Amino acid sequence: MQNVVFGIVTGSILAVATLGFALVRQTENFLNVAHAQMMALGAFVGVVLVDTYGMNIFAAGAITVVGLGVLGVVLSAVFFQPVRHQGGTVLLFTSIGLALMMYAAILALFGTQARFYPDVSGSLHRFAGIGIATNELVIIGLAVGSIAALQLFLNGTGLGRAIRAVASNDDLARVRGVPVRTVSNTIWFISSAFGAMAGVMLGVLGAVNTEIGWHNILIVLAAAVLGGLRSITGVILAGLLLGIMMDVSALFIPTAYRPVVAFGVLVAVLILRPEGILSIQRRKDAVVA
Amino acid sequence: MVKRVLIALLAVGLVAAAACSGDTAEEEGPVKLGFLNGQSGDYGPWGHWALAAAEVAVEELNAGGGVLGRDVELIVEDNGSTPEGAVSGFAELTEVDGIHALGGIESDGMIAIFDTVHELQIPTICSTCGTTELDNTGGDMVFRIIPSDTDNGIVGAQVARDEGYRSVAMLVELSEGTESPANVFKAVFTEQMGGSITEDVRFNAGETTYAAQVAQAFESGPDAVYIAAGFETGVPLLNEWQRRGYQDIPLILTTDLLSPEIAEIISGVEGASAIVGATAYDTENNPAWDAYVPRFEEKIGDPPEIAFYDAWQYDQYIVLGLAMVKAGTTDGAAVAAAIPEIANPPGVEVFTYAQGLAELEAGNEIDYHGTTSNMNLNSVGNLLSPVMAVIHVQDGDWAVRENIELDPTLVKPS
Repeated sequence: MQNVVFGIVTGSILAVATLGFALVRQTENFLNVAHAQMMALGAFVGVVLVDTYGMNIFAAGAITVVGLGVLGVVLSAVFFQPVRHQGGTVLLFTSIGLALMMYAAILALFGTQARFYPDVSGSLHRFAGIGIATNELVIIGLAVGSIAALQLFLNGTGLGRAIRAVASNDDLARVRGVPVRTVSNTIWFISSAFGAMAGVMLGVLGAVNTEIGWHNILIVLAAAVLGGLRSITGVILAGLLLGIMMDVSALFIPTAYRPVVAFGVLVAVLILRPEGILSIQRRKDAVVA
Repeated sequence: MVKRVLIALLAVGLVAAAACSGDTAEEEGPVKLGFLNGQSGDYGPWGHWALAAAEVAVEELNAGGGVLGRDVELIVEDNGSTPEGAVSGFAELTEVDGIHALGGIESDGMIAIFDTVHELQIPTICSTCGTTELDNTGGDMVFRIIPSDTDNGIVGAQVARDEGYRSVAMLVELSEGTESPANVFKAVFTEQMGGSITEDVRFNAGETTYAAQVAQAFESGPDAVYIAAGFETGVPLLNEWQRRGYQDIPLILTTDLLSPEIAEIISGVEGASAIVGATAYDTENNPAWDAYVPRFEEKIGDPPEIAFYDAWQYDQYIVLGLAMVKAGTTDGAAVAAAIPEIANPPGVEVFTYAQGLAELEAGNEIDYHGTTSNMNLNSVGNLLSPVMAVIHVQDGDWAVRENIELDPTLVKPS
């Protein structure tokens, strides 16, 4: 059971990271590889604010999330909007190029030295013999809160409904007068903010190094595919499922094979349910049938 | 016909001239010593001290009139603590800078450039590489002046035995530099001491968290937990150890974790205990050490500290400088052949470059004794008698608890 709790913590971070990734996939129709570097940048900016400027972790986290959300909007305007009409392949390669540029910028700005958030773990709480640290509770709480807020935003506001319209049918939404540019900017802000938040969470639990983005992007991609790229609920479930499976697998197989577990599950899903575990299309098909 | 002969002679002449000019360049200008070191990445925390010690050595060489009457230049390349960085850094040092000898390299990087070092005939002293790969493969062009991971693994098991631990769990990062002492530790502890391993947890660097791995090791009921990991992994691992409240179980750490950050984490946990069986400086009645300390302190503002590995960086360049003087050239093969000659007896025992230079110029054989050991090397370029110690955390920092000798009854596992 202890390992299930570890898995929920890992899965919460993964769900936050993957949600940002999947939002862009849903609305912009390409795999944004640069999302990994937004996570890395978030981890570095956060640790600098805390460690160098002595800022409270929550204040540093909030500034990082908002700041990088804005940066995401700027980057999309500079790099993605000009080539948007050329389709997903061009956008994908633009994203790879941007990821490499962001990686180089991180190296130049922060150096290659690993950095660490000051210990913010707090005390260990025990429930029925299962231990969980304060920072892990905070990570789970933030993940749940931010995902719930996103769901409320998407379902309960006009802009949220416009985003869902664009995600469902970009061309139709445009014809119906949905402000596509505003929707796009909002999506990039949310996606980048979620990436930055995941980066800060990763940094708090581990080490902040320049490879943190590359190390995690494949797992994020696995969670996105597993959840079904067009289903937010699926992405959340997939993140949690992968996190739990990776950490529970430590009880049965060497922990060095944790990534193998993630990709084993991914391959199995691709074979058995290529549209993901919670597919909108499959549900639509079921309704039609 | 005559025209062809003239052209052929002209071509031979041009080639000969080019070759001669190359030789002239090789034996003129500064002697270039490469420093290929992890100034960033896993070994980054030690980089500042390592470079300072190397600079102290080069300043000593130049203060003694240089090497072969030529100024000595230290050319620094950061390998990022990675094999890829070592390969590209070595290419830069040899192809662009034209170094005559190399120092500063660590295990993974050394393995990556081992063949190229031999092909290019660059005498190399491995100052911080413990890899067991060098246990039997050096001695021609590559020499090691720090104990092997075999020694580190044995001394770790020896310390565990002497502390009375009968069962140990292992947390080992998957890399050459960490697995190599861990595997020796495991073999010696179980096969030669009858100890048991309750869990052997191997993990990759860069994991999201290490909670599952730490729990698996510490929950297995061991007397102590042996941790072999790099610095970047070690900090989150020990944060997890602290977070979970496992401080009642003692830690046996490997030398890669002897950093101030790790000492700070351990000292901040009440009731925690951690020891390291590790290589140490040769500080007792050693004129080389006595001469080095004030110059290093002047350079950096602090005295040498245990576990900062600076003194090996110093020793390697004094050895290379004396070997060049002994060889009378910077030619790689000749310098490599001279290294065991100036490091091993017979000869007048010398402790500084100036002393060695004076004896060599007087036509005497020398036996250089460095700041870290007597530098005596075996036929495969390894230390014959490394200096070892038990190191622990005291007042928030690493300190030598006692010097120890390797138990001669413990042998390298087959």
